[in-house]
Amino acid sequence: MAAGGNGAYSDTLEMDATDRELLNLLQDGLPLCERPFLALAEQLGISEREAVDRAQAMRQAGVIRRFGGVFNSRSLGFSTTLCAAAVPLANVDEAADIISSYDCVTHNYLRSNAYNLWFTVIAASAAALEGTIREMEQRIGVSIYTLPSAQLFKVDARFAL
Amino acid sequence: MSGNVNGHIELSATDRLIISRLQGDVPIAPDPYQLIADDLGISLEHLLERLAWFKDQGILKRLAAIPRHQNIGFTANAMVVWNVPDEDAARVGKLFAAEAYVSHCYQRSALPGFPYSVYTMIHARSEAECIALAQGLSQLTGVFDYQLLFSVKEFKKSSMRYY
Repeated sequence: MAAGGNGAYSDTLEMDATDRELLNLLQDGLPLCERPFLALAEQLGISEREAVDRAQAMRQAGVIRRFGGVFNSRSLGFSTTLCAAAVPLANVDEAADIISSYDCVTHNYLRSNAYNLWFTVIAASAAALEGTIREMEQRIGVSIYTLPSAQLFKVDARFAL
Repeated sequence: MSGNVNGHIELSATDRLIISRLQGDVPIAPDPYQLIADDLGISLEHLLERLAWFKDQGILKRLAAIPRHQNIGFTANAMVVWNVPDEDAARVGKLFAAEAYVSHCYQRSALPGFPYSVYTMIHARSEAECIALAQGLSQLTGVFDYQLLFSVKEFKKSSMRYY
């Protein structure tokens, strides 16, 4: 079934209903026990081996981008903010490359607005965050606006399949 | 020693090693925790005990599969920004947050020439569907000044490595 695709867009994996149910459970989280896939397999009425094989196939095909820990940066003491900049279109690829080159940038998008470059920065402290952003600003030659969250209503990037 | 001192969570060297290991890929195998414990040279019991503590403290939300949403049919996403008076933000934010297709919802400060202060990320199968969902959110909340910012290009999407 799962041919190809090292995380590249893949349409080679035909997901069936069991795959979708398994992916829903895997998005909710792997149980903390010695044989976590056995626990999930029992919910789905399949064998542990089949659950592991299906999960591996989904990762192989790039349906699963990453399988690992999802941490709360704030609880770990890190500071994070969304940033926006209005970059002249002719320079936007170059500016985006500079921004993306920072390890502390996790998301970076070109969006359809005068403020066209939108990215997130995470740093170990508020001072480090500010310092990094001012350095970026100098390097891209365009003002960077910070948009820290004043209030969090929801973060839940799980998709019901 | 690890513990919660003055509201700051203190992590031991082993805790940081565990977090560092979990930021990478976790093996998809019948005994993933045993494999990680062996990697780190600690016992399975100790690893499971620390993971339970991380969850308790809110450090670890979950150990989970992160789908590449374009590969599971959610090919369009829009950041929808809403012009909401501060005093109405909590009501509107809660209504937005209750919708399954809204993955993120925040109140943020406004920008020069950009008066929007409530931000939502919505995910759908097409741009047309995003537009329809945003119209629905507008009617639901009575907020009529909003904009959809589609992602024209994804330059980077990764997971943070803290340690």
